Amino acid sequence: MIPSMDPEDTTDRDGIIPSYDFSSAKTIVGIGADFLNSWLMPTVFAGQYASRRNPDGDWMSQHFQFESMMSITGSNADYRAMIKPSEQASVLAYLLKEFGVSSSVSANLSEEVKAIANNAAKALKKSKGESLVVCDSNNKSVQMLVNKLNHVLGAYSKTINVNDPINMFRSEDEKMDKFVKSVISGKGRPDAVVFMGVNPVYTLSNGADFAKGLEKIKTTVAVSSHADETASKCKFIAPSHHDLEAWADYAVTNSHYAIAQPTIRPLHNTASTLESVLVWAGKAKRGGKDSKVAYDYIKGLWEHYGFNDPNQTKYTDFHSYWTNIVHNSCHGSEAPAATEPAFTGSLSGLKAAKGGDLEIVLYQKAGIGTGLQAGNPWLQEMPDPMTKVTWDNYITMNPVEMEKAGYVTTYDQENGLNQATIKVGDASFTLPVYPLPGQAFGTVGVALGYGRGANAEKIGKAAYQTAQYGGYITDENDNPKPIGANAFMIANGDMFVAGSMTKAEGLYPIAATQIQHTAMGRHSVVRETTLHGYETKDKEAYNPTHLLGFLNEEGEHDTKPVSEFDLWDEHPVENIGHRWGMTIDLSSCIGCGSCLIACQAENNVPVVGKDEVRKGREMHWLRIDRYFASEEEAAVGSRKDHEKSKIEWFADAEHPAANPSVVHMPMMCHHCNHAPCETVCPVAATTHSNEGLNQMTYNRCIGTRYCANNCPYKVRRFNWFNYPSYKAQAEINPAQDDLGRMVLNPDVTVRTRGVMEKCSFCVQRIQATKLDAKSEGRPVMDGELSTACSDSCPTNAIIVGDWNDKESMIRKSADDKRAYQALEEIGVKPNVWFKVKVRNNENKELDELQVVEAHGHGGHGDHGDDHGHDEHKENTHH
Amino acid sequence: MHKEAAIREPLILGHKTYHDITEDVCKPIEDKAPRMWYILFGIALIIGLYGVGCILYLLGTGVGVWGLNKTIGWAWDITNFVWWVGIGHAGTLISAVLLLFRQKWRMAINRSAEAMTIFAVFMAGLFPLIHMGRLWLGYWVLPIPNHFGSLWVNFNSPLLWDVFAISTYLSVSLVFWYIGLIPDFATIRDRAKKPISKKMYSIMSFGWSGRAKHWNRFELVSLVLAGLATPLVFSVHSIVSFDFATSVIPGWHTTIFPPYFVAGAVFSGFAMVQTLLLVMRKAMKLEAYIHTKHVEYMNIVIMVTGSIVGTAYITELFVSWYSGVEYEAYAFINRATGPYWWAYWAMMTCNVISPQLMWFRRLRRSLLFTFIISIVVNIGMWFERYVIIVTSIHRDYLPSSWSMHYPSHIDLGVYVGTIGLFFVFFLLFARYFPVLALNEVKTILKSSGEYYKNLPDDHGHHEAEVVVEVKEEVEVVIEEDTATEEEDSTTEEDNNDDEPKSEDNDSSDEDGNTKE
Repeated sequence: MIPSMDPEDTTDRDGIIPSYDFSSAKTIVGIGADFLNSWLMPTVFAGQYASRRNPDGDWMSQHFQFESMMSITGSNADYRAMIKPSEQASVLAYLLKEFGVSSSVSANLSEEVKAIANNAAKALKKSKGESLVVCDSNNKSVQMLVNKLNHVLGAYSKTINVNDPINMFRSEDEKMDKFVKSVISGKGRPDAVVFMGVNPVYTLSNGADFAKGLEKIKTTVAVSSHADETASKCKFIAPSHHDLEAWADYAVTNSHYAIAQPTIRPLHNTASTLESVLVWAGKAKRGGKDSKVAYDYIKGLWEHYGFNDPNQTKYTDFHSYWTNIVHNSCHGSEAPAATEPAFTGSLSGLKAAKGGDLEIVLYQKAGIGTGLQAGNPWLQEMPDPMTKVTWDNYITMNPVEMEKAGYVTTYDQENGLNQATIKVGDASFTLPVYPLPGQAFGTVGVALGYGRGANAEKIGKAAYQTAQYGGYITDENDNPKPIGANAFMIANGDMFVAGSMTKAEGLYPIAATQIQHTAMGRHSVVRETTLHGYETKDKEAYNPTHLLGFLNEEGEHDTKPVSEFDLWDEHPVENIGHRWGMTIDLSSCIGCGSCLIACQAENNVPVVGKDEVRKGREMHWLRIDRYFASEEEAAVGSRKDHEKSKIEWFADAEHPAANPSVVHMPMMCHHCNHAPCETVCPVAATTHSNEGLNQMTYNRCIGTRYCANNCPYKVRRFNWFNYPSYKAQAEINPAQDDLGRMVLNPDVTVRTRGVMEKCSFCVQRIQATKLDAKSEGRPVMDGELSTACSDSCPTNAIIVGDWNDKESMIRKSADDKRAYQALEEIGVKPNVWFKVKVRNNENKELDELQVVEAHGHGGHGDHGDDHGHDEHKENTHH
Repeated sequence: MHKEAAIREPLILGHKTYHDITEDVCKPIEDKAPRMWYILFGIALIIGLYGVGCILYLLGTGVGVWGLNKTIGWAWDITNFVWWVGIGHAGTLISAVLLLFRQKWRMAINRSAEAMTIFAVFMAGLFPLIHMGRLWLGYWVLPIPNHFGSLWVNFNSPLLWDVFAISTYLSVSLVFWYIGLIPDFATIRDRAKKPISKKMYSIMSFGWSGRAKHWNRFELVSLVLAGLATPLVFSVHSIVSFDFATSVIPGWHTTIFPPYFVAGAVFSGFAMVQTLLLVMRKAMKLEAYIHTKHVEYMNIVIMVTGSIVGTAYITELFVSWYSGVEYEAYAFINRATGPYWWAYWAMMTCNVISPQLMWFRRLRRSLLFTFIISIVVNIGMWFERYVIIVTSIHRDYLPSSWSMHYPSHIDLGVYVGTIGLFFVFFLLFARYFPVLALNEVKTILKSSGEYYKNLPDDHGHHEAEVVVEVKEEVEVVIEEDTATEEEDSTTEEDNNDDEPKSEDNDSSDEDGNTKE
């Protein structure tokens, strides 16, 4: 079965998934669960989580993560321990022991894990009743331990609500197993099966056998938008609407209902799933292209259960009720109060999941998930938040282990990675091995969702491997090869499986958007501090101002902030009209990548394909830089004191630590007020607007690329080919066919070959916002403007607005003591501010570095970064 | 008749008469081309056409056919551009600066050096054009009235300065070169027997008649152009260096660049002149005019400019350390020890170590050694530009964007193609144009010609003896070369004469051209 979610098997309420509230948990312990990325309702959880990660809030949560592969969630944790998946039960047993609860599971942990578990236990004890432990295991024993621990912690009265269960992922594995067995064996095989929103031929480990069994069933119907692996094996396909074409409603939890309205008239001759079911049930007749069947049915339901509900007193006529519901697209009522269920289970006789020498963790990537949208080129080209690899599936392994086993641990355009074959039972597949720091020793990770369309099923043009100069890479039958391998074939119902791995022949080319993974101790790029440091220290300690020396009027050496120096006249953007700005809070950003895809969709950013990404030519206007800390850094960007020579130090700092801390840093055009790109363009194709925007005039651009070279942030993207027509992108660039072109935003130009492009701060939205305000005869209001990235950010890490408005959120955020401008010392005066990442952990080395020097400026934290050698620093500070 | 110090080595060997000079220079043009010329021309043409093919493919498909990426926006394109511009520095330096400094030895080499300059600038100019994403709109870099609401160019941009610098340099060099060619074309015209070539050369010689007035104007124009060209020698490469120096990229943002680039340009330009002339003097039998002394003079220039370049490299390293700027320090450590260390050390070896060998008189007078070093220097200078351009931007401020550059076969094709095209032009030049400024060389025959130099005031008796020695010297193998020279200088010592040297102002030759 899909090794996804059937967790939280609470002992007295079989099969429910309670709702969680990360925003009221002062201590969060994640065990495997990638709750910011793929576990249950990650977008909701991310919002809750981030609301308590703000160091300026009432309190900041503390997050411990015990996991095997470096997940997005783990990369955001304050403390992260590497464990094998089979050790999850031991971690829980250890924590329970700390609370005086013993179980039959061994509580043996390695010293490193124990240290973090002790910290976690300490924090849990301190925040009893306000903490939460979550685990992704499908193993009953493990879940029993989780429930017990949450019970002991009193989580059920605050952070877990069993009275408002999540209705998603409520599968019944046993029934499904029985059904699958019957189809394969023929014993008790059903006469008719209808598949709706599922693809078992792909997601079952014995999918091929299942497909054979299917053929013997008299009536098989698939309600599906694609002739996918299962649908293509069915006797009938009822083509269903795309989600954007259909009316639908959902009950996400018992207290939360949602309604989806179509955004487009159906493009093809399809029907909504709801309509098909109604027709087959004899409740309706087909409505044709502009069918109102589903609409009427849903409307009737909402009238009956919603409007006529005695508790509904807000609306007196149905029309206004319905209009408002559709407008709000959701309806939330007060969730029933959480009550603490009795824990009746027994902790004796529990069996931890059996491990092995090599445990293979099956996980879901942010972009591909379970492979539902494998045909979506945006998602295929979305760099994985942790590895930054696009268009591929791979085995993740800790680089330390890889080096020992003789695998290469670096890669670039021309140098690929070693491949390895994973074998579990009879199933095996070969994939490249990617060096992912933070992967627990003795484990590897493989993402689900790849290997879609293995028999060239029609699941979308972009779902297959494209060749460097256009067309597909084909197998011996001339079928296009799928991307990656289907890891479902080794799945056993849990999140991991024991197996073996052997190195295979050949190097495999990797298309990644980042090939250097550490920040090289560059403190003017990334700044981090601890919560304790942030609360107790002066700003200069953790967020030092860059100072430059100058001769004052008396002819003496003096220093002043670099922001006060100007090589050119100021652009007249300050305090006149608008000055658009943006702040990005590194404490809130979890690195999910929603902004990147939102930006791509909003701005018609071309998809370029694997080979072009491999050559470093992805076009994303907004990217997320992901930095791992090296052993040379106390935190990302903060170098430790060292005795090494510079050459030696730089070489060592290139390598991430085995279990590094991580910073995700969204990076886009900084709209510098002294933009280095603007001065160098010979034809003035990139210029500054009087609202502080760095504008790109595509029509004027002749493509010298000087601007891109001179951009310190490297955010400019060049159209190396005519992407809307070049053969290499024929299969993957939506702009290359009539249907695909419908995703293009009509407000944004599609760029031609040979011109430079980059983030415009969604200037089309700025213009629209200004026009709205103008037509209503009022100034633009704070919060009225949103860019695609700020709009889509689940954690509100990105704030945009008018910096000249002194009361605006952006102005306050930019003036905050955590705000800094990356690479400020170059003097380009960006309109983007980052905010220092604050981690709620203890970091002695960092604390020692972050002290304000006696003479009151030039924090020690930028040790050697900005002023270089200490002896030289002495000189400038005289 | 001005006499030159006898201690100075003669610039024209043997007993050449004015007519001999005319004959020596015109013979290759009037004779049928040798087989070798056709073979070389064929090879150069094929390579050149392959390059043209690559360029057409590039223009048809997009700049993406090169190995550039989001981090490395320039690589071989601008490397080749700067390399060719640098090579194109020697010609004008020789013809303008050396003219103003009255260096007579320039006369043997200035014509072909100028031709080389012009062809090199052609090749150089090609790269900024084809590196553009939209070449067809490239004319927008010109400040011309337009229908875009009078949209002007950006005068802040060093690329725009490049447009002016390169086009000015090319025009002045071209005019300078052509003016110099006019009297020589006239000589060829006067000797031409076939009507077509007579017609062609008569058009090209602009009706030159050799009258004193013509010579007077010729000299004046030459001086004026030399005056115009001299600042250009320094400005062009200074401006090219601004492409980098005005940027914010560590490794580019360097105030030392203008002098460093100019020295490097002269360095590589002279090396290229050496490469070409050492072959040409043999192939076209010009050993009497371009000989060890010329090679030695040029080697000294290479040594001096090479030392300036070396000093600049070391200064850069020092400043990167002394400035204490994090990124600057990293840029240089990365150059020397990062993934492109081999390019850096290739540059250091070729450009810093090899010219220092020229301190040895034996080596700098060795033609074979010079030939090898001249090629080594140009390899080194190519790497210098590659190192500056690629190793600076491949790892700049944000480690997330660090990248590697891998050239595509189109990169290679275009580069090799320009070398092919360059030789196509140069071989055509050698075939149809007087490769020596024959009328100018005649002006120094009496003062610096070996025969005349060694004539005693009474036109005495040494004559036969000297001629024998000269014949020997022309044919000696390289090892013996220097030894013979040393002997020569000792025999000449007693013949010391301290008359001030100057350009000969009046002389006449057998063809009846009078020079004033």
